[in-house]
Amino acid sequence: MEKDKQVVKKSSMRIAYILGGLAFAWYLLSMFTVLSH
Amino acid sequence: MSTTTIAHDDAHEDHPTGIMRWLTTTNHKDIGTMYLTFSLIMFLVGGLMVLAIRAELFQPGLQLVNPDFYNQLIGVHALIMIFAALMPAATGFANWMIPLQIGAPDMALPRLNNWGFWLLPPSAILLTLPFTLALFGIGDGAIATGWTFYPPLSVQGGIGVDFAIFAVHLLGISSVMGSINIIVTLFNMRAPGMTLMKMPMFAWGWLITAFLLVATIPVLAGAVTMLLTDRHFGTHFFDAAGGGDPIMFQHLFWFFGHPEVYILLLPVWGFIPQILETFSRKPMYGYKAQVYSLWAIGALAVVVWAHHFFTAGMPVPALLYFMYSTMAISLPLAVLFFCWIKTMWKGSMSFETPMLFTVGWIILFGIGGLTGLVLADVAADAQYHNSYFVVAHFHYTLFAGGIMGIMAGTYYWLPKMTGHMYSEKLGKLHFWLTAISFNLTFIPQFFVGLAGMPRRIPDYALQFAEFNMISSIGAFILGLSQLLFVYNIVSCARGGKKATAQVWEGAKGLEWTLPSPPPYHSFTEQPVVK
Repeated sequence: MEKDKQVVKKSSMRIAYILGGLAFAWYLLSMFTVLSH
Repeated sequence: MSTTTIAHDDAHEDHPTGIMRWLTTTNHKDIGTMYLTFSLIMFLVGGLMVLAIRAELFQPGLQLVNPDFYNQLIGVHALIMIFAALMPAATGFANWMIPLQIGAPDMALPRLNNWGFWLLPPSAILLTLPFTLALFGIGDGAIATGWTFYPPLSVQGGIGVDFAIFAVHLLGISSVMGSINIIVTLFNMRAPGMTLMKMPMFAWGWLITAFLLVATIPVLAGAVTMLLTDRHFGTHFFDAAGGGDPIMFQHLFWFFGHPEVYILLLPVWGFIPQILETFSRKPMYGYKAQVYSLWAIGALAVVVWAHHFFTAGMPVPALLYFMYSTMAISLPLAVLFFCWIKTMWKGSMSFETPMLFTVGWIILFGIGGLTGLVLADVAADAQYHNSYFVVAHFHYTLFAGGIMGIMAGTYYWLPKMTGHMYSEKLGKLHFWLTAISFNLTFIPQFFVGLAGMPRRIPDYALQFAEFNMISSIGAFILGLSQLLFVYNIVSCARGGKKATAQVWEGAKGLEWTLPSPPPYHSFTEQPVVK
């Protein structure tokens, strides 16, 4: 049970970091689009 | 769907009391309650602003407010209603109901959840503070550009624009964090046996909403960051005089702004079919068709943005592309309407307040959708753009389609949340007053819009006087009737007839297997969905 919880927590953090990273990269990219316009 | 019995352990009831409970809570129900309370307060604040607007428009000429203050009211009303009333209401429902519906003990990232909420009050203060500062002679008031921040107005505007830019950044961070939390929760925390295609429709609506938020909020944040550097750090991204392009801002803004409409509506499209199946006492029609339609709408939402500024000028192929792609949204939406109506068809229907709001919602939101098709037509839009027709259209979409949907959800889940039944009599009175006064307010706006009355102007030509008077009377009745809503919620939270666990005879799903109100720690033993 405890092991399952750890796996879920690790996987949750991984998804959160990926999505957060993508969102931040997209924020920077949207500004870069204008710079190159 | 059948489930195992759910056990409950009282040891989990331990939590701080008083203000510390609310400041430090990581409990999804507490955070949901805070979101919903915040949303209700801001709904009243935004409503008061629009009453000042409608009072000014009661007669032609300038009576009550000066034009600059009028512009500020218009912009802040929209920003508050969209970012501080509708979005937090949907997020409040998500926090309360998603873990209960999928059999999870809480959201996957509870601390992030707390942080996401507590970014909202400072944002609301940033949006409204410039009004107060102006009273003491500091600055020139709140943002006066409308909610769209279009340059060059926003580049030249006063400190209200800076406050709004910071507020939007904070709101955006809060929304992205909330979305990540919802995506992670739905992917990782579902009860055993609950496959994606067994998830409640509300969870589907929110999953797509969350992806839309992560895809579009960063672009809005990027656009307003560049606006900030244009204003204070010598850049000319959107300043034509320095070689920049103000139309580029419109593209970036509406790349977020159009999906935002679906961000506000998809959660509602999630729980509306659940209310329909409950009060029609038969299973939802076309579950898979609805899920695929929600995805189709989510995908189309991000590729149609430029229909908001057809008149700004663009090549004919672009006009045609944005016209046809916008109109294509009506196809999956028609599938949804068909499924909603078919769910009711030959059902054993009863009309408690949530169902009244839902049926009224289908009709009024239908009008919002149909008038959207008119505006999507490039040739017709040249006539209607920037007129009161647009104002009437998006209020049918966002007040009827958004807020009335939220009201349906509130009456539906309130007994589950509080453990008490609300007053049906007051609820029904609230519905009829809202539905009638809403139409009284906005039908005349279609007429004056078609006749050429421009939006965002505090004065108007004499020929529009009668319709504006009717619209203002409707708006005041609409505003006052919301006091019934507040009274009903507060009195329900304070006491009343005890609600059973299932609350509604036809209610199905895991949230109705828990007592009303659910224990502080929802599921101590994971339910199994068969």
